[in-house]
Amino acid sequence: MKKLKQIFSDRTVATVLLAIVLMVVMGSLRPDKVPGLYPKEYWATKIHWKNCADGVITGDSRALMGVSPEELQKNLLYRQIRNYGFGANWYSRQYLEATEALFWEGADKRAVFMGISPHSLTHRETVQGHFIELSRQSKQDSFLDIHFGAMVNFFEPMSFRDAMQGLLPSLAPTHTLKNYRPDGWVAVHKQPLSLDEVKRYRKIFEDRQVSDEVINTIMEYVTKWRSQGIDVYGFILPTCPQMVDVEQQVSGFNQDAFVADFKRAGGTWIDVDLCKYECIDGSHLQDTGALQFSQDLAALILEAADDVKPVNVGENK
Amino acid sequence: MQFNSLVFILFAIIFFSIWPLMRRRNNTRWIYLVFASFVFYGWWDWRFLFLIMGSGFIDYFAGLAMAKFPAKKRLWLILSIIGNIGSLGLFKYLDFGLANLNWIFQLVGADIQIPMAHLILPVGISFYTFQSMSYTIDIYRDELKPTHNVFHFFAYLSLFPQLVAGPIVRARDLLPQLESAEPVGPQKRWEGLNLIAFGFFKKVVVADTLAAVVNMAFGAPAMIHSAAYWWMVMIMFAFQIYCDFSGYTDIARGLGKWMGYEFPVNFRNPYIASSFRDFWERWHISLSTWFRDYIYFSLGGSKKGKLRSHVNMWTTMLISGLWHGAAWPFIGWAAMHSFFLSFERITNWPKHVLKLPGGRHVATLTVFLLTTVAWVFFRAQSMHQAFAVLATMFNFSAFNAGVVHDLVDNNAINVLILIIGSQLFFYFGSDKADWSVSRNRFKIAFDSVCIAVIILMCVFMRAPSNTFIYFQF
Repeated sequence: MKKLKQIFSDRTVATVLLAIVLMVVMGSLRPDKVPGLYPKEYWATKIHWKNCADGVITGDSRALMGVSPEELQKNLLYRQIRNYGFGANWYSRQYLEATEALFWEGADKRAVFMGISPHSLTHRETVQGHFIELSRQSKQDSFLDIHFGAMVNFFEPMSFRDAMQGLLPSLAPTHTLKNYRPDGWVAVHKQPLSLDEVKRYRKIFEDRQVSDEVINTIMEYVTKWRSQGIDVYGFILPTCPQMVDVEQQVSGFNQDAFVADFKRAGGTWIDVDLCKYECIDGSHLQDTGALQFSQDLAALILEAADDVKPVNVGENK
Repeated sequence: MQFNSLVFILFAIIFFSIWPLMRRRNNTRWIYLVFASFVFYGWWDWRFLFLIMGSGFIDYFAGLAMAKFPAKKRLWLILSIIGNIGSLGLFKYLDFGLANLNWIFQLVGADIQIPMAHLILPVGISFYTFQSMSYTIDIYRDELKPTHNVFHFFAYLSLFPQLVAGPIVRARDLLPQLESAEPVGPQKRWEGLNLIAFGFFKKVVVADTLAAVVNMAFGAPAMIHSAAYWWMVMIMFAFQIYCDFSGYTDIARGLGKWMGYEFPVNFRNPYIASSFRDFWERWHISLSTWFRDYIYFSLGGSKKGKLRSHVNMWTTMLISGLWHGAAWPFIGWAAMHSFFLSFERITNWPKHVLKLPGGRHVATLTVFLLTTVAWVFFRAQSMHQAFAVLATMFNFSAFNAGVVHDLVDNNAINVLILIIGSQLFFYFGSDKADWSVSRNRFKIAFDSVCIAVIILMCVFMRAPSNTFIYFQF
């Protein structure tokens, strides 16, 4: 007992204990976790997906937040659809290769649902997408993220503003809830809405235009997949009207030419209503908007594909 | 294994839990230190443990041979230096040499292209090679007696806190310490905690936050034409590299104290230096003194006339530049500092400026800004990029301060203000003020709370992790 008292009266030990207490307090102030996976657990799991689906949704953050696999699965004849979208992603050869690896070996029916945004068609050498960064994650970090997700999340960086938001939610100027779902969709609910991304993307497109090389790579893979019997559906990902204007005026994207090439490569093009759904930041869809869009997309795919028939949700599972 | 990783924290917890049991007997202590250090280094790539062992065995046996055959100790020293410089040259400078050779072939119109070797650069090779060389050179100079215990030698060479990024500890300083089994007292524990907490804060909060801005600027596909932006980026880089490297050293020194060992101070607030000579007495002191003692003095130092002393200084500095990296920009960086030092020796300008009212502020600011300009070479990926950045920095007609607002994260600016504030604290001598050195109960409690808050900030306000810059050297 005397020895214990001696240990705790040591200034170093007392300071470390105080720091631990402060960490526990600070960590517990983090805003409550919404349902779904922990963010790092989600990313570390997703980057290692292989042999796990017969339908794959691809694209950048707009696909990531904008398309719910569950809603597609309810109406289309696929057993497991995964959302393989990544933040700041572009259609690199590496990404398209990885997409192929998601398919179950020997699946009767396979499909790629390619969400297109002009940003996902820009070529980036120095600014890597989230996909590339995650691909380089060490095995040890992946292991920790997947198996100790709660602990990793507890120690994730957090500003004092986040802590205040956890302590007094009513004082927070914005509320963003992200649900990292196991099927790959990130459902985001944000209030109030903004148009912040429009200005940022205008700047991005001024520096970096849609790349013919990326488009050619996509067409190469569409041709290849079609020759392997994989259905390929392409569609522009909906956003807000202001972003559509920016993309049409500044990005260098020629949609008509792209669609013509896509069809020539064997893909099925789906025309969607680009400005019908609620956006959170001028680019990405609100969770409710994403659900509505996913249902509409499933219906449009059904219309476009004669051989795809609706089945009961129970059968899909 | 990086200090700023969860794996290292687990490693350190296990190491220090067993350390009190292992430190009592010499052999047990040394074997434990070697084992732990090899795990620490091998975590990155176990194959390169053979390189440390190879380099170490050469110097260990060279040391013994010099003691046994003193008449031939020059030969043993040469063999040891060839072994060390050979491995450094192979892994670090081979491709640089080949690239320059190919360039010369191209220049003279010869149709020869030697393929690059593309060898992996072992982490910290320059540090442990220099540390190992100091052992044999000190024995050669009769300043050190060789150790006969191979574990004692490898405990010195591979001691994990300072193995990969210094400070470079001389054998004559560390070998005797490794023989001691003294338990660590509360004061040393407290000093160790202070160093570790501040070291982590400098690295994960300051350096990593600033790194995001700097990496974006140097990695941008197109040059951003704004003098204001590039001055801001370079000032941020100046503090990034300082906090990154001195943060590592602080953590290393703190861990050393917890083990009962003292490593030399490596940085003494270099940006408050009022002359370039002063700067080099405050920046990476263990390397500067290594070069001074083993190269500058060996060349004759300043004892062979003024001109020769300039030549010796330039030679030493250029080798130091090359030590940092096998690339022309590092040599450019060293040449710039050599020029500043030569100019200072000839004109003695700091002495004249310091006599003026406010002269100290002018001198300090001048040294800081010129050092910042020199850092352009250190950070640039090529000479071409370095000159482009310098041209933009000095093109004041395109100052474009608005770009700073658009491209530089507010968080990075806050961190920059914080670190500049901390430097001013030392500049105005507040660290020596009565309230600062007071030992009353309130001050002791206040310091403890500050350290606890700093640890908290390291955990929750850390920026995305980056490798320590000096690992590449």
